[in-house]
Amino acid sequence: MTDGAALGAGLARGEERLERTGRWNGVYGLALVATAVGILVGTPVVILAGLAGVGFAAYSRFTDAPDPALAVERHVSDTDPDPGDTVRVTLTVTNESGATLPDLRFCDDVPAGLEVVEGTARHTTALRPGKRASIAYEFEAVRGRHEFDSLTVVTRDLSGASRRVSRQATDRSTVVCRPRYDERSVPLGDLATQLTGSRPVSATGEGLAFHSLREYRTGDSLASIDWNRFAKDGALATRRFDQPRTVKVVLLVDARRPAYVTAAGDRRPGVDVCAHAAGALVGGLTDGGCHVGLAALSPRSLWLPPASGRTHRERLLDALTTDEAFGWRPPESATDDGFDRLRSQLPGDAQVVFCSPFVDDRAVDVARALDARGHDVTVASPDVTATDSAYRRLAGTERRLRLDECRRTGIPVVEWSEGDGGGGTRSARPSDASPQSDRAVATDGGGAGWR
Amino acid sequence: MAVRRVDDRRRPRVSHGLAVLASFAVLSAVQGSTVAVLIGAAGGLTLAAALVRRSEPTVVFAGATLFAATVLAGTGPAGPEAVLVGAFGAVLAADVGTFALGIDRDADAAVATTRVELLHAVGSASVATLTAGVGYVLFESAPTGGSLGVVALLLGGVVLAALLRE
Repeated sequence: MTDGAALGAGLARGEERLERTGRWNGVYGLALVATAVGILVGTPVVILAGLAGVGFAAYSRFTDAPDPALAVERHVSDTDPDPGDTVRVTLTVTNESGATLPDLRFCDDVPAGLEVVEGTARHTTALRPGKRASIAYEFEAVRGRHEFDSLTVVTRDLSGASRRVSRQATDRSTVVCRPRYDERSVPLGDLATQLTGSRPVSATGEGLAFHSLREYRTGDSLASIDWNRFAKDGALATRRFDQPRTVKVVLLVDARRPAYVTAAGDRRPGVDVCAHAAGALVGGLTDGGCHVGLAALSPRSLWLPPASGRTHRERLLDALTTDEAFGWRPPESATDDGFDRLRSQLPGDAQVVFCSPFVDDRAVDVARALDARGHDVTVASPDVTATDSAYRRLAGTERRLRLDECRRTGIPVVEWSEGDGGGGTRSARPSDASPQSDRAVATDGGGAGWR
Repeated sequence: MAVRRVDDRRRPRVSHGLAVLASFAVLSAVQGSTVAVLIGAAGGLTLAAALVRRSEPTVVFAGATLFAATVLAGTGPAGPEAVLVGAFGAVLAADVGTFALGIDRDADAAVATTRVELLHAVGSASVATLTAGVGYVLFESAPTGGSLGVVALLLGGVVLAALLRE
């Protein structure tokens, strides 16, 4: 039998299937061989050996795997941990089926993203009616909303010839881990709304800070005429002032299936790094007076239009923490990314900060398409490549080439690194690409890297 | 689901010992024939190696080798008791051995699985005892010269019934 969790992977919550294990396949052959040899040699006693085949063949057909009726109790020590905290889960399974379960194997369905660091989430035992079996394990909390709501159970009959695999629904235990996001910003473009705000942009109009002088035009306000200049040389000139505007910024997080790529070792997917980057930008940009929105480049739709205020900020951070679009399980579709939907949602006067690990060419296409549509696009790209193999070094080189392609198009690129306390540096030339970070997260481009 | 990789530490389990014990029973049953002993010894060594290397197909192959040794011994000097012990011992060795490897794969080293292993072994041993007992009684009670036909008929009937149930 293979691992219970893997067996239950294709089952929906509450589903079960009964199947033959094939464990006794071919045992009939022993009877046939022994009988044939006995008849050929003319030695009746040899035929007795064939009884082993007959007996166990009948044994394998005697009964099917029992249908377990289990009562499951799960206790989670902390439902609101901080990232990195260790949370203990205790699971108790009671046999309420009224018959002995001769071979019971169960495995708690630990939500994606959580790694068991102590103990084990699975157990193998024989359980008499009314008896219970318990397991305890600990996992390390990571960003997200994690639902414990099922248990994979495998029962086998005594001979092991058949097994019943089920994903039993259990009471729901929810663990929400909210990280404390940094507050960082990135340099933005000049695109702004027509509304007066607090963000200095290149727009001129009414304001206090002097911007420039231009030739007087009919209709200019008398108050804006530079009378000193008129007194000096008799020419009329109009003073222009900086006019702060309201800037809308949409944080676009690359949460497509390719962005979940990661490598053995750290096992932190690119989407998680991008979500943290976006979380840091929420704080930095809202403090900078921007109206901030949030969108996911993913088949799983997420759209929060740009707005301001403390409540909206909390809503953004909550979405980055708990929304399924940024969950630890990659979306099913590897081709759909919801970009068409996104284009219809984006306001024309919104800037876009695109948080993406740039692990494929589609990210470049998206950035260029948004730029061509008139949005000021800034790329904030965490480096999730590594250098521990030739393949991964190649992946890193490809990523740098993609970022260079963006720069050539005129799209500013910020090499995002976590924990440097700054807002990242805008690289002006391709050669400014920062060296890879020390984090062990890496692209491996293969299915084995999915969490 | 993100469960830590299976702990690769090895833990001697009851089933490992029972499988090796069954192979010894086969060896003792076929000791009347030198060639059968050699084949049986090869089967026993293969079984031990397969358990160490955690190879289920090799365990099955070792069981087949032990069974072949029994059949070979049956064509020679071995009596019905020895043939029955050898044949059922061979199947039990493969059964318990593969069960042990399945447990190794599904349960972490720290998990005590003695109860489920013993239950499985007792079930298989009971079937072996029952079947061998019935076969032995039939073989001994049948008139001389007729035992071949009786047992063959029994075998055919059971196999046919099982196949019809498929």
